[in-house]
Amino acid sequence: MNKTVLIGMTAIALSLGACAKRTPPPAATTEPPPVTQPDTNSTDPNSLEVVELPQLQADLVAKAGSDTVYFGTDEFSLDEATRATLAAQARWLIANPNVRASIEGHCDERGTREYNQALGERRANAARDFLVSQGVPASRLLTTSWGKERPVAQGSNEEAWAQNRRAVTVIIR
Amino acid sequence: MRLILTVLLTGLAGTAIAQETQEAPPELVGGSVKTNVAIAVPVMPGDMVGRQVSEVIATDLRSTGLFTPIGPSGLPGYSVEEASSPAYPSWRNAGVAALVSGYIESRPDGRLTLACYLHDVTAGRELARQGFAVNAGDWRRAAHKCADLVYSRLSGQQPYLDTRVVYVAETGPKNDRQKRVAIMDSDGSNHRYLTIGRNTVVTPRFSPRGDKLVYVAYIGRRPRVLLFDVATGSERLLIPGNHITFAPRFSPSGRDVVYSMANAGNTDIYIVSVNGGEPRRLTSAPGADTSPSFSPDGRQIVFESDRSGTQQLYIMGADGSQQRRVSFGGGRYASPTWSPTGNLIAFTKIAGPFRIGVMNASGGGERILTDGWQDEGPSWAPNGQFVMFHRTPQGAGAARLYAVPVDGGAARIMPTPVGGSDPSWSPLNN
Amino acid sequence: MKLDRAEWTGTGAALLFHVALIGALSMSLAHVNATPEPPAMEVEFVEDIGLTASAPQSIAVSPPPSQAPEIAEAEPVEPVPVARPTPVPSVRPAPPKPPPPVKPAPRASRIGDDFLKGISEAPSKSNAPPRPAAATFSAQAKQSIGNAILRQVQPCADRQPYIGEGANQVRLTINLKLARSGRLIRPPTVLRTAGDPDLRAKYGDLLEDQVRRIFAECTPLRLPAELYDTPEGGWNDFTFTYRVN
Repeated sequence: MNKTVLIGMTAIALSLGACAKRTPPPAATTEPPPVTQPDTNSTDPNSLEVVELPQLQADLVAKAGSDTVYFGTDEFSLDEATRATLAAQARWLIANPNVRASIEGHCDERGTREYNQALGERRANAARDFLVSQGVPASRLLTTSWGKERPVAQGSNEEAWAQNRRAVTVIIR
Repeated sequence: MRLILTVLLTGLAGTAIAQETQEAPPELVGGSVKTNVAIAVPVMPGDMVGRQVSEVIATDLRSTGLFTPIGPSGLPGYSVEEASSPAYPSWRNAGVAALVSGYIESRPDGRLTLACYLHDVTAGRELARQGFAVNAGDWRRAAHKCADLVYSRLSGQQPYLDTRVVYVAETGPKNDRQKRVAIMDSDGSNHRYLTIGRNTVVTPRFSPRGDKLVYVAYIGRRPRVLLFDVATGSERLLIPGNHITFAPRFSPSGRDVVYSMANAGNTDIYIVSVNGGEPRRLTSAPGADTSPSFSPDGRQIVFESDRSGTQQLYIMGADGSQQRRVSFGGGRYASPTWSPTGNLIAFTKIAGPFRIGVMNASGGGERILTDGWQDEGPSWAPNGQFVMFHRTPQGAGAARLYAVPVDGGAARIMPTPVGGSDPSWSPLNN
Repeated sequence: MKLDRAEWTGTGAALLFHVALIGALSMSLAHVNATPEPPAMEVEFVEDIGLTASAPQSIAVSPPPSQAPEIAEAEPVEPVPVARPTPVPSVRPAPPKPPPPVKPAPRASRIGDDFLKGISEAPSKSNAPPRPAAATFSAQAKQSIGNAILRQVQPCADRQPYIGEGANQVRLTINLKLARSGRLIRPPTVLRTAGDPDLRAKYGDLLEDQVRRIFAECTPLRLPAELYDTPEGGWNDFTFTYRVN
């Protein structure tokens, strides 16, 4: 049920955007905050929901080549290929100023649960910093860490692990 | 004559001295054989629930790893009157060393009384007796209390069988796992889900009195610490705002929660009151500081940090002072948890595979308890004698919960209906 | 030598009676006793019974938490029964007689080859009515008796299960009071418990449990009657220490 609502709202948002009217974000959406400042004193979990935008996501992938960059074992440094991909993502984000992005760090299974939550944030942070260095306003970028909770590959081998050590740029409203 | 007297007296004195030098009594040394105690658990008379009560007791005793329970099937019954005066010779002939007997009585107020007796069959005497009054629907609690009475009296340890486990129940394929917070009795009964599975959840932990949980749920694509009331099911965000927070644990008083917050590539440990208010920062070193766990006296916190370059264990005061490294073996150390008895710290040791280990809280004495491929996330039984953890197999299979005795012995699988991880052992139910 | 008719009859009757006896005993063995064995002790002991054996007091298990008072354990009135009601002839100590008879020749020892070695036959020191030449409870006799007792119970001691870490740091000093039959008159008494206070609190009771089991299983003891009770002492009163491996 929620997915339908999201798609519906996405459709409406896109169509509104296509009309070249810059409507302000709906009042219910909070301004994307810098991470260090709490934006609200609310303790209601429902106040934190974030809306993905699948069609724009597909556009990002098409235009930038990939929404995902990869890391070495226990590493959060960016290699050349990663920088190239992120640079392309930055160009897309600059060209699409009405959306934000959630930069999401992931780990392979060969770390303990909580350490991987920290490591994922390091990866997301590294990718986000690079995007900022490429001109994307920091206020449009959120970071998060999924730790090892969302692997894309199921195996317990080097190939699977390499696919899981990643940062994903998720387009959100 | 005088000569004879002198000789006799000298002889007396000599004998007396000889007697005194024989002071130390002879010593008998017992065997310390690692065998299980054969204990009979026949069906308890007095109410139809007696058979199930005996089955719960037998299962509990088997799970301790110290007993070979016999029955209730195949054992002769007895009357309520015979519960307190069993025929010891018959039981000796049956080859058991101990016997659990008792009876169940319905009370006029609709509750049940379970009378529980423990007998030393070999010595032919009663060792312990106690009665437990419960609502009829809570007969399992009375059975666990009786099993705890038996376990405690025969092992010298504090009880731990009348407890619950909260954990993350896992279903679905590895790359699309559904995770839900679940709670059950330690023997697998009364299992129910506390979250519906829409949000990914990890690391639920009991409060010191077992009435609340803290856990992490991914809401709005970020891990958040939630405070959950077990009885009512109500919950709220513990730390207001939009932060990446995880690894929560209660303080021994239950008044505060210590946790990690990640920001700008750095993860540090904070503490916040359960009633709200400003969190206080406890660590600030560059690096990932996480998995904090209080000592039972509330004065110290053990945590993991990679500030030295690899994950190691550190201890600090509850105010963040005097942070010092305490792990020095080869390999990496993670997810420490302080035992409720205060003398040991359990952890995940990473040296190729992940294994559960313990070390003295004062340092040293490291012992590895398990031998899986990926064993992690230890949680102590309230009597400090067992450690629960989850074991992930290589490949696509689901993790399962296990419990291992702290003084060495096989890890036993916990009876969860589906796969599971991140167990937390409750305090003893009151 | 050929048996004549009378002898055949006698032998046959004896055989028949033996078969009948064994048969009757086998059947009584198959019947399980519902009550404990009658005591073989000379003296019954009665422990102080606090509460009668009635229903235990109940405690509320559901919250709010409340602690039940501990019920005082009612010690059994009858002494510790010993298993194996065996009619098979076994080695037993000489039946009790008030003054030990004169032992003209060295007895074949059932305890050890040189059990009686070193036991002096010196005359008694006291001026009491002159005793026949009985064994005195010299230091060596005391040591030999002690070793004999412990040797006899060692198989039961060996079987005791592992208790826990640090249990081997606790040592109990135990006193036994034995009847001439070789059985205990009363349960073993713990005179002292030595060791770290925490370990004593944790394991003291469990070690006492073990001692009680050991002496329930491995009695009656087989010891020379003439050393049961002498002016210098005897095995009627025996003190030893117990610990685990």
